[in-house]
Amino acid sequence: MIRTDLRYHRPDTPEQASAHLAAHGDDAVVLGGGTLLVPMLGRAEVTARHAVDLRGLGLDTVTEHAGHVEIGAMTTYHRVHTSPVLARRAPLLVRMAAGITGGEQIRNLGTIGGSACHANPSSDVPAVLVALGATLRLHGPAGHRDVAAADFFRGAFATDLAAGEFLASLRVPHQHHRAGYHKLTLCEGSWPIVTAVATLDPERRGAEVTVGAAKAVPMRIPLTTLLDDAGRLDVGGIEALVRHRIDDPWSDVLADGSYRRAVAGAVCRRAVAELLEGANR
Amino acid sequence: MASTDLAAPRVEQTRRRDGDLMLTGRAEYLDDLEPAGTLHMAVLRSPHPHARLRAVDAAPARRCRGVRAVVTGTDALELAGPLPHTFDPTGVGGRTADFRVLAVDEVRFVGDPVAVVVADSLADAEAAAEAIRVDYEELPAVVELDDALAESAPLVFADWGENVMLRLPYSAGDADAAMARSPHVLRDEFRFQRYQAAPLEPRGYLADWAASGKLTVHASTQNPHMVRATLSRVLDVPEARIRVVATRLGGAFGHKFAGYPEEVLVCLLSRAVGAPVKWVESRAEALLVGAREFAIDLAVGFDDTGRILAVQGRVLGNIGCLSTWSGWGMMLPAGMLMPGPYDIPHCAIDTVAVVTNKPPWNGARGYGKEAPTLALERMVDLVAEHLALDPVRVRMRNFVPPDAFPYWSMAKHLDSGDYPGALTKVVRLSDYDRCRERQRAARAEGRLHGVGVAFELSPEGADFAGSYARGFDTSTVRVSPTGGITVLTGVTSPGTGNETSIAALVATAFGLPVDTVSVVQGDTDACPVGFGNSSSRSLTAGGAAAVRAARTVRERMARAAAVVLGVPADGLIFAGGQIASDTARIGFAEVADQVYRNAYAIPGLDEPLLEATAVVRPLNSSYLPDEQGRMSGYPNYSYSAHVCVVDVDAETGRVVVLEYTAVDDCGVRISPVFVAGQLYGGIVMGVGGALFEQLPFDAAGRPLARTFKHYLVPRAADVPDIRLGHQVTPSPFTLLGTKGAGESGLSGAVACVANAVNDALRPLGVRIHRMPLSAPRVLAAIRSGGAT
Amino acid sequence: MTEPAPPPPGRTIRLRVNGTEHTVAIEDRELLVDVIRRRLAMTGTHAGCYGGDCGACTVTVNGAIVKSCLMLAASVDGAEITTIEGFSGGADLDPIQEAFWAEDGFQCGFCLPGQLFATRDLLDRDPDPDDDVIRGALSGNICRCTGYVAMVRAVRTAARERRAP
Repeated sequence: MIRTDLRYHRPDTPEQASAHLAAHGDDAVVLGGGTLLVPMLGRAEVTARHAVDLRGLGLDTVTEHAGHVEIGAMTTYHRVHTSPVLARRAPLLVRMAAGITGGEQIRNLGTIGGSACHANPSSDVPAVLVALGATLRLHGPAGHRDVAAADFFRGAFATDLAAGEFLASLRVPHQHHRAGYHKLTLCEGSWPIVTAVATLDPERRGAEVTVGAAKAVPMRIPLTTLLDDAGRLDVGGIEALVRHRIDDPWSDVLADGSYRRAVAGAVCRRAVAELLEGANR
Repeated sequence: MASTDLAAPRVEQTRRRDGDLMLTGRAEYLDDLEPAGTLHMAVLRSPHPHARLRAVDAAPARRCRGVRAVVTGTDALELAGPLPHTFDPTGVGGRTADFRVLAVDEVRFVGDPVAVVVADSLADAEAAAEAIRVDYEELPAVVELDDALAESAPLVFADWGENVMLRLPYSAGDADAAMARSPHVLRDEFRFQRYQAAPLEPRGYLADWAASGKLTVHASTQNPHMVRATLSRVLDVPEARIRVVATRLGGAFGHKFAGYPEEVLVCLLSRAVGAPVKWVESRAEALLVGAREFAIDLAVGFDDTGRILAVQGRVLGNIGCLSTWSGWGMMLPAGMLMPGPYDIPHCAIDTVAVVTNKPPWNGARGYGKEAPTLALERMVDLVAEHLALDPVRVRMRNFVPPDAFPYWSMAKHLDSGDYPGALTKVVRLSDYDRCRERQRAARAEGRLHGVGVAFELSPEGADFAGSYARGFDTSTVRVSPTGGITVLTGVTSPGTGNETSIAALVATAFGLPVDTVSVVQGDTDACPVGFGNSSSRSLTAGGAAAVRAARTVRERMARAAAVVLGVPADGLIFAGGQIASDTARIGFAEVADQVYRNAYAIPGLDEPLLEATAVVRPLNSSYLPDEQGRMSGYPNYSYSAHVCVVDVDAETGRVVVLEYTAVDDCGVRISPVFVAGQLYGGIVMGVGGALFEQLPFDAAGRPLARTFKHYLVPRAADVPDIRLGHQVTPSPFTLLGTKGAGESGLSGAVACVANAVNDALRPLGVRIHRMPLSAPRVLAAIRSGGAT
Repeated sequence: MTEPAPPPPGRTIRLRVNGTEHTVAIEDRELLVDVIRRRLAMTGTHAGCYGGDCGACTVTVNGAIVKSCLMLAASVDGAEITTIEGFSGGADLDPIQEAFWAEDGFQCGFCLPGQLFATRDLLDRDPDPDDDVIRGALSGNICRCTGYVAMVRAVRTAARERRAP
């Protein structure tokens, strides 16, 4: 049970939300979908006296803009999964949302914004946002600021969010090319052990994988050194390249770092292989 | 000797009793009970694996909002006596200690209860418990088996002088000599992880100590009468003033065996505050409970044909701290199980129970049979591998033959069986030869594809005289004036549906529709003293007792009907709600009514006791050694044969179970649909334990699993469909021919998956005998290129 | 601290549960599952883990299935909720419930709220799912009794019954 005298706040405007957060400092938590925070409050792993619920801010919409899609921070996995706009403009996100474990009951509550802010290394969202080049719009007492996903994740369970700030939306550039995606879990109830997004940009002759859960923060690994003159990728070289880059792997109760390091290369190679096979179809 | 009623009733399979209540949310479980004014208990637990309690200052908690009472270990010394074991290890030559409801001057595991708070709300009780200040002096702790057995290891119980709680040497024949003359000997080591039952509904207790002095306890427990006996002893209150009601259980599987301190704590708090007090275990608390952490060394001697001549080994169990919730008892079958279904006259197994500063064990489905089954079945496969024989063939070569029963196998007197028959059947049902063909094709493509075979012997109906783990039980059958039937039984249901089967058995005895029979379980004010739910004996003991009682009542009903109808009692048939002779018939209810209205008034109608109580004992247990020193504590021996197919991902170590087939024989099946349900559930718990269920600890002895995100259990997408076949070899020693089905499948599944994974890894020359076969561990084995 | 703390922050919320309006005083810190179970005394919704893992606390909130242990009750003021008590919508048993019973798709019954709601959620989207899809759809819920075999069978049967004209 939540044993602190928690006070529930449901602000109507971003300004009110930031004001609550600023006023209560460490004693306040931002309540998104609740799938991560609420049980942690119940187990007293997080203690707070103020919960600031973002449900009243209308942050649950997906809006198409020229060049990017804006996804409200309270957009659930279910809504991501079923969004026609995202199916067109950011299919990788749709695919990731479909693979979130915990059942439809979790996908109806959990949000990609909440997962980003929790910044558990062993989660699906951070690496996908980094791979897509997403920007996170943070709202604070002084207004908005935008942070690139690659800069937002600062460490395990640590983000760039400052006092009084909350995540308002995610801006995801239109995905112009297919992405390959692979996620390794131990079983259905397991959180991700390693994820990989592979992207290829034929015009700019770029290729990279973004590895999630292998380190405390997502890691982009360029594969350009593996491209030959004809633009073909040396798939066989991926594993060694990736393993070399996972120098300080993440450990948790489900899998220690040595395992993550041992499998990261194969996971990346599978993401790339899927991408290439898809391209051939 | 043979006492099976060859006319064992064929009952009609019906739907699960109260299914409509469960499906519509109207079935009541423990936490659904909350009388007005109920207060809530929170337990402050030790965060240290081992520490001296220098001081416990409860004053800050007493000042917290909503707090009605706080009790520390010192306070509790005045309120409650020492906790008795439900299964005292001294009865089998083990050690014990003084166990209290709250720690007094030393805590011995993370989670050891230190103090309790009762408050208006659970949240306030938990907040207040947190406010208690405890001054701990940390002491050296032992966590793993090797540490505990090391010389000069820190002691869990200082006055024992060592950390060994119990040594049990089991032997038959002359294993040393047989091993010495065996043409081949293989030996290996196995590690079986700590993994628990994890019922979905946690434990819970609700005590209401009324001003009248009557204590009523509702409990999510498997053994209500044992709880009442303990409360009487510990609280020094006559049992006549205590009523324990076991509520409908949301699963149990051994986790809810009696003996926990919280059973007593809610009562003494209720007395202290004069209100009902409830406690429900949190998931994190539930995950403290351990089970079956074993290290097994095993050697087998065999000849060129694959005939196994001797088995020798040692079973070490890390039982955590000893406690009164008696999961340590799993050590008994862990050694006793050997040599399983095989005809191996020379066998010696040392069983050693070792205490550590991990939390104690309680029971868990499989109950210590899973680890030796794993070790034995792996060894049989290694014999096959060594001789380049098919593992099915080696098993066939070694089974106790069907004509050899009853058969003494070390400390087991095997009742009956056709082991080759079950294996033959599963080979056919699984299309084993095609599995092997597909495996060859998969290997040719470089895939790690394995086919596993395993055989499980599942001793059931544990009957250990001197303990409360007994094989007999008692039921009462009562006929009321409208012809309604009430069964009151000492066995309880953990959610398996035995109440449905008991009702069906009794209804069948009277030729009545099943819904005329009500079954009362778990209420100590109503039911005969019984042992509740354990060791897959609900129908073999409680169901059979109900049948026996029903037959007694039926005879009286027949005599009454004969008087009313004016026909001889012999040959009356009970069917379709009627009691009939060739020439006359009368409604069952009419006879019951006549008995109550006209007994003694009508000549011959002089047996108005339409009620009988019967006890049924297992006829295949021994309480004293025979002339050859042999004793068998398990009377019933179910068994099952398994085949599964797995893929192992060579790059990640992840195992996928593609196909699963099993054939079981639990003797006569009363309700085949429910037997199948037990097998499905047991097999999936076994697959979970084979692959990923585990309770990890850090090096200091602190548990790392607090939620189902850390303790992974199988979900629907983790397991395949299960093809199930059955064989029926009735037990000649039980009234109904039943043997018990509640644990079947689990041990076989653990072994079958382990054999399949090892089979998959064979082309790499890799063996893996450390469980579970989680992806990280399998990959490490693959990368090491050898045995782990 | 010498004086006990004042009562924790609370409020009054309105919930429409299985078609009936409730006005209920809650503490802000209370979970939806506990408000349903304790304040409204509808105990068919179960709490097996309080961590969003087991699914036994599943209800629908404004038509979407959710795990009610993951929500503060304060955040669903005004919501329309269906619990297992209202699953059949007034009939004795819904065809899904009938199928679970007929196929022996459950044993102890504790996990049923999650299994039943997940089944309906699936069949509303996909009237004829294959076994893999069924198993995926049930994977937000833990069952320790059945091994899922008969449960999957029950979902298939329910799907067939619902498709029948």
